[in-house]
Amino acid sequence: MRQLSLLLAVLSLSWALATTFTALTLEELTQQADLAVFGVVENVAVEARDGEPWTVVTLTVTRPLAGELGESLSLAFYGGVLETGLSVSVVGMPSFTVGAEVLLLAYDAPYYSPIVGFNQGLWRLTELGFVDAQERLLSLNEAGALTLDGEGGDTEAILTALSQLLENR
Amino acid sequence: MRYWPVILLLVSSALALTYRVDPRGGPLDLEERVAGALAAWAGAEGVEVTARPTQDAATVIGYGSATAFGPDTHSLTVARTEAGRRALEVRLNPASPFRERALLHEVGVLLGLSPSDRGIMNPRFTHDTPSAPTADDLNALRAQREVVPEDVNRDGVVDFYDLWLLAQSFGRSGVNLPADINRDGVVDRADLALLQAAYIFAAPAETPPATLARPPQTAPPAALPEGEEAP
Repeated sequence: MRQLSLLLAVLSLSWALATTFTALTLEELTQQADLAVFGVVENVAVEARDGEPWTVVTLTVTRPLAGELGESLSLAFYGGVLETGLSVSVVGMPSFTVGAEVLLLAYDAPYYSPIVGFNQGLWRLTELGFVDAQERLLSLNEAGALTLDGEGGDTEAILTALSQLLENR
Repeated sequence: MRYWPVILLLVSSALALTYRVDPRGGPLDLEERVAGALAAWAGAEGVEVTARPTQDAATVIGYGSATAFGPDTHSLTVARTEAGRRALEVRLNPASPFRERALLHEVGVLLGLSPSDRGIMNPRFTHDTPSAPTADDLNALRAQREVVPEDVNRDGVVDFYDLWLLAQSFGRSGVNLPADINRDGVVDRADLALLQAAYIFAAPAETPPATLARPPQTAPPAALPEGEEAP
C-alpha cells in the first residue's frame, strides 16, 4: 500500500494543471449529468472542426445508467493531432485508450469537454476499482452510500448504487 | 482585430516569459485585467514582475467560446504546435463568474507555479477560493526562485529522488512539469543531462522526502505524453 501511495504521489508531482473548473460533489455530478454510462472505449479518432482538432471517442455501452442511449455513444473532446500537423493539447483534458472500461457522467452538449465537471465525472475501471482523475476510488461507505473517495468496493454494487442515485434525481 | 501584447519578465531569476493579450470574444479590458493579475502576484516581497508589450509572443492570454466551456469550466490552458512552432494559449471563459480568479491562477502558472491543493493555485474552484493570491501562494512563488531547477522535488538537494521523478515523467509534455528542467515543455534527454550535471552522488535517504511520501494531491491529471492519441 505504501508503494502505491508513493507511486501516486510521484504521478501527482508529474502532472501540472492550469485549466480551472468548479469542484463538484457526487450529488452535483449526478444532478447535472444528461448522460450516464458504463462502457468500453471502442475507437478514438481525431477530426477537424472549423480547422481545429477534436478527438471523437466512441464507447460501446455496456450498461446505460441515464439518458437516451443506444448501443454506442460518441463524445467529442477539444484537442488532438490533425494530419496537417496541427497539434492541440488541452491541459487536464480527459484522455482515452481503446479497450479501456470507463464510467462517465456527461452533458449532451458540444462543450470543450462534455464530461460533467470537465474531468470529474469520469472514472476508469482498474484493478483497484473506479478511479477518477484525482486518483480517488469511487466507493461505497459502510452505510452503503456512494462516495468519491474511499476504499473502492464491488463494481456491480457501485454501478447499482450510482444507477439508483441517478434515478432518484 | 487588435492584439495587446505584453512581456512579462521575472526580474532577478532565470525565468523570463513573454505574453500577448488578445481580448477578442470577451470584455475588451483584458489587458488591464491581466495587468491587475500581474500586480497581485507582484505583491510578494522579493519578487519583481515587469510587463512590456511585444509582437511575437508565443504565449497568448485570451478568451474561448463561452458556449463551449459549459457550466463548470473557467479557463483552459492549451498547448498548440503548428508548423513546428509551439505556443501556449490561456483561454478564459468570458461568462464565468470565476473569471478573475481563473486569470489569477493562470498568471500564476505562467509565472512558473505548479498547481496546488490550496489557495488560488488550486485549479478546482469552490466558493471558498480566494480572490487574490494567499500567503502560501506568494511563498510558493518566492520559494520557486530559491531552488535550482534540477531540484525537481524541491527538497534542497539534487539526488536520487529527483532522478526518480524525472524518470517517472520522462516523455511527458505540458506546462510547468517539475521535471522539465529547461522549461521547453517536454521532459527529455536535455533535462536528464542538466540533472546529471547537478547530481550529488550519494546513497538515497532511507525514507523519501516529504514531497514523495505525502498523500496524492487533489490535482487531477494533465500533461499528456507527446503523441498520445487522446486530447
